[in-house]
Amino acid sequence: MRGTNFADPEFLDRLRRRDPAGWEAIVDAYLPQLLRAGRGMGFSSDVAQDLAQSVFVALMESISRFEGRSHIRTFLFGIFYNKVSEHLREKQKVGGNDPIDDVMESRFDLNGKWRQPPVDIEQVVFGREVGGMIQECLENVPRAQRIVFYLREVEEMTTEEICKKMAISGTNLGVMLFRARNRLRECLEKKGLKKG
Amino acid sequence: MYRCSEVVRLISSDEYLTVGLLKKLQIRLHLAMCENCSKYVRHLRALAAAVRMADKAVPDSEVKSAKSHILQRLSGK
Repeated sequence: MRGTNFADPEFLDRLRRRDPAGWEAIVDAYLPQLLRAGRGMGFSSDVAQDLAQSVFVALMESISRFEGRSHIRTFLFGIFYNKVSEHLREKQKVGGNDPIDDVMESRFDLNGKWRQPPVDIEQVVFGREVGGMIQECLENVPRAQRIVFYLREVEEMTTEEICKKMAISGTNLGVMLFRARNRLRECLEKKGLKKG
Repeated sequence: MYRCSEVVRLISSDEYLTVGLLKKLQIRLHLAMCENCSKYVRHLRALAAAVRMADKAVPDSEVKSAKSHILQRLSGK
């Protein structure tokens, strides 16, 4: 199935007829990306696999409605982001207080000037062991924050795209990005201090 | 003029992307003059770059096992 043209109407027909080789080609083409994105968003490998599976199942169920006007990849990832947004809504408690907000507040005085200026973490962030440290710090980022952080920084989506795909407001996204980024930086700063 | 806490908030929430040109210039000016804020923003950028670098493809073995599960599930539909 190498070099299959997924946009070919004949290929779409095969998918609609549930041709196994056609479906294998689609799974081969997009499963690695789905798993990678799921893992990057902090899902365990089991959950990332279940998520990917549910995407292909939903694709199979809706393929008869897919008219081939967009690329099948766009359609498939649309399903994926939809499912991710369900997770996001489940876990998300925006409006509620988050400890990182207090941490950030305590870094500034009443005039908004630095009370605790940032400590140099360049060595930590650029250093060799950074991979492991970042991974550890990422584990402490709540799921919803991690998802939007991943979409913004790794997939490099625009804020508008994220709001649309995750069905959240710009304000909401801003709060989550603020918390994710500052939480990660705080975590690395702490680790850097411990090390240094 | 913007306060440090406000600059950090606007940048780490991406809210600064939506502010007008004048405000953007004021933020840039603040960063040019404030060592702590510019350091902080550098950290946020470096952090994002490091996370991008740390994002790796999942091992083939994991893809293979997921693939066989999924194909089995699809064939049962």
